[in-house]
Amino acid sequence: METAIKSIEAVKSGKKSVSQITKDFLKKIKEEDSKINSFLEVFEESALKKAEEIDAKISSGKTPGELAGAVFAIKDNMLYEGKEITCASKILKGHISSYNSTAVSKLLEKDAVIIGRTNMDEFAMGSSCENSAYLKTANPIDTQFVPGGSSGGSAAAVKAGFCHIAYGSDTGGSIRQPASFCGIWGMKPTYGRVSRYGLVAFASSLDQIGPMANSWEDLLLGYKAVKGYDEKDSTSIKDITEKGEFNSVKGLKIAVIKNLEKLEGLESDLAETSSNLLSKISSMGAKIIEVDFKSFKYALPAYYILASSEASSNLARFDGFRYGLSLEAPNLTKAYMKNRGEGFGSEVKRRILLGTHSLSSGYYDAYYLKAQKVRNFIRKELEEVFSQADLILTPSSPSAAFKFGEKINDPLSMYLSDIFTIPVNLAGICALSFPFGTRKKDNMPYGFQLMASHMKDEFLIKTAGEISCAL
Amino acid sequence: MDEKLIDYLSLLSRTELTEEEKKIYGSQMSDIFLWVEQIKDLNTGEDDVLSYKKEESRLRQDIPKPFENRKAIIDNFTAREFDFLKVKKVIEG
Repeated sequence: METAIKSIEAVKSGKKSVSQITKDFLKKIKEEDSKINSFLEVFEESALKKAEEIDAKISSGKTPGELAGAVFAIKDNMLYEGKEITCASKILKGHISSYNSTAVSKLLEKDAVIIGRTNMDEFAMGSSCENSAYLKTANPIDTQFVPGGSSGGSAAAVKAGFCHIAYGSDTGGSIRQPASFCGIWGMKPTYGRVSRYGLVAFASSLDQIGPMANSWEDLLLGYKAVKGYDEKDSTSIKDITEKGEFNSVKGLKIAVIKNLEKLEGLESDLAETSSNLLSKISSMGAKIIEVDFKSFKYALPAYYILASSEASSNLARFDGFRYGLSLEAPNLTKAYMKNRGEGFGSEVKRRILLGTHSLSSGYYDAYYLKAQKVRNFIRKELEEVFSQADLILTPSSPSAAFKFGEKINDPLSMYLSDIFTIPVNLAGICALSFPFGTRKKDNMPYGFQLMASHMKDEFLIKTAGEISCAL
Repeated sequence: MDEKLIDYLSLLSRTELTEEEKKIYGSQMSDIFLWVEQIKDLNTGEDDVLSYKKEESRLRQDIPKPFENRKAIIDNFTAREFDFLKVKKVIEG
């Protein structure tokens, strides 16, 4: 499949029309998505209309926006005015977005075509896309396997070639883990780099929109397309300058976490692939340094306290009156309970209970407050690592993709698939996953994560790009 | 985690659970909280836990701004009469 950059060039040089590019994707989706189920809705009519408008603009001699020729998909938790948005939940069924998220506005202003909304774990809670109330998305590489989650539909759509770039949201690894499972690139930008305005909140202090693509060049394009300060998001970063200038991998210091290969649950092939990758990076002239990261193992439990606490508060708005599902009940309390009981799926309810317990009187200090302290500790420890190194390298997940049903009844085992990605969200730094190597027995891809400190997003993508080109 | 606590959390969070869910969540949440307990082992010191956040927080005046697409919001009402959000009967008796 042609990259977004190549398609944009083809449109610029007059070799292709935006309509033709869009029709090609729509045809592929029609022919193949019934096996993958990456889309909850394909915006055939509005995508073609937008493509024709851009072509008409070009025909009349006007300069189109910088994304003319690129086709995007969005996760079903990003508001697109006039389109249904469900967060893959029954409780939001039929809800129509009344405004555009800032990310969607930016795409449309730059003449991007948005081809559809992708499947996800309900309210972005999950690591396999099995928690969607509507569809089970399959991994396009082998449909016996999950695509990862929560942005599994976006990852699958990119891998299957149904769009150039798809956006996901990443609260604890929801972009990087599915990117890893599907053998594509996925990035969580620095917290505050991409506006969260119009992104349905799961855990506001951790959520971040980011791109997923088949190449690092398209990942960079996807990141640049949506980044920037937004007064509508009070956590948006005002300083728009990128930190760190990329010159060469040679001379960079890349940190790895000491004794990581001994981590329980880490696939042996992955440990081997990891040392293979390290020697390749080392031969490119980068210096590999081993660092202690003693708070690493506490990130995951702290995250589940914090994210669930924020979720229990954010999801309080789904009361059965203002949105979607609305069932009859004899009184107000019973109406809330019935709508939420029927409307939410099992993982969402589990996390609401978890968060409610962590925030409840008598437990707040022991759980929520302690988890906040752990979070601060992790941030400080990572700052210290970044005072010695330019980047940190880890696997993106302890394993390649697993099969449907393998972990769905064991929440703790499912949570562990985010063990490497979660410290990044807790610290608010940027990180990406890039594909490298496969599991021997089934050829399912592995992904590796590179982390960089705050606001070094472009430096991160370019460095990873150079590394991948040399592999 | 016993059924009494699950019932209490279900009420606190206004989320109805079936009998089967109560059993499953009770056992799963016990496992999860047992696992979470490990955070107590990390000596984090006695820092002001919110100090980091304070540096980052930007406050603004809470001034309402008009939202232009009023119709789209009204169209999303689950039940309506004219432009009024119609709420189901919620008072017993």
